Amino acid sequence: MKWFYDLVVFFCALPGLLWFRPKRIYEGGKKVRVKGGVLTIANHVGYCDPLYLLYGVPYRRHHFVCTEDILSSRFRKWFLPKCLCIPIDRDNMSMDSFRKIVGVMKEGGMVTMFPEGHIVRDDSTAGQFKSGMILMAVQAHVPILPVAIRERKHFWNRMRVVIGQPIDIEALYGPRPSFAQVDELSKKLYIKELELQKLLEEK
Amino acid sequence: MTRQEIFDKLKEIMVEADDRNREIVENSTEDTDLMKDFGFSSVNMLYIVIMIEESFGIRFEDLGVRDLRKVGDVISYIAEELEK
Repeated sequence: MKWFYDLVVFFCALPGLLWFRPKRIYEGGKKVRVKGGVLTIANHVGYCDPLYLLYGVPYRRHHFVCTEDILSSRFRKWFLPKCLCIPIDRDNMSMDSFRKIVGVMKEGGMVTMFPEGHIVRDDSTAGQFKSGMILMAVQAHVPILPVAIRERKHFWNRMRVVIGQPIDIEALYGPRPSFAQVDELSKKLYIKELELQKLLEEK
Repeated sequence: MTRQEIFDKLKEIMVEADDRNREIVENSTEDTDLMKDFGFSSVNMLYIVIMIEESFGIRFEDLGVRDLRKVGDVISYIAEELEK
């Protein structure tokens, strides 16, 4: 349903731009434009995060990974999959969902997810990343694009997104990292996310 | 492929995935619980399932990673798939 996604983005683009007035900040000041399959990850601070990411990386279609719980109403059940969302069972992920996500990236698409698994608003309760996303990127042979977002405090604040440099897992650990390497990488990505969040505060 | 052959290959896969578990894997039986005894998380299970699919040339359909509780369950699933 790519046409439906494009239609929704087209009609939401201008009102969204006026409302959020997005400002993109690039890690190291170097503009990042990712082509081909990629897994985008971001911290999860609120329900508007998918919109923040749409404006953070506007040149790509986002296949958002969401939990099945979100598809609770009939409207969401109809609307979200049409907007390229991929529902997963967070507690007991099926191989069918896994293959679907990997398939999108293998075909050159961008999958976007929040590896904390739930909304974390308060810094003191900041969660660690779930490492399933690393297996997805490894299996699809794609890099991970870390992005940091922060909830707007007031209407007059501009929406800010920090975009990091893509991380090539295969270059770091080879085609099949071990359990220990997957855990290590998950921690590294979380630290990278915190670094990007600091940039968000400095700018 | 016999159950024992599947079990041996499964052990190789688990050691390859995490060398720290070598002793527990080598002493495991079909009753060994993957999460409790090996300490596997759901991500570890996902990893093992991917490796099984690649090694045995099968596909885990309509199955969540937590549905496989014991080593024997995995062996039975692989054996069934190989017979198809």
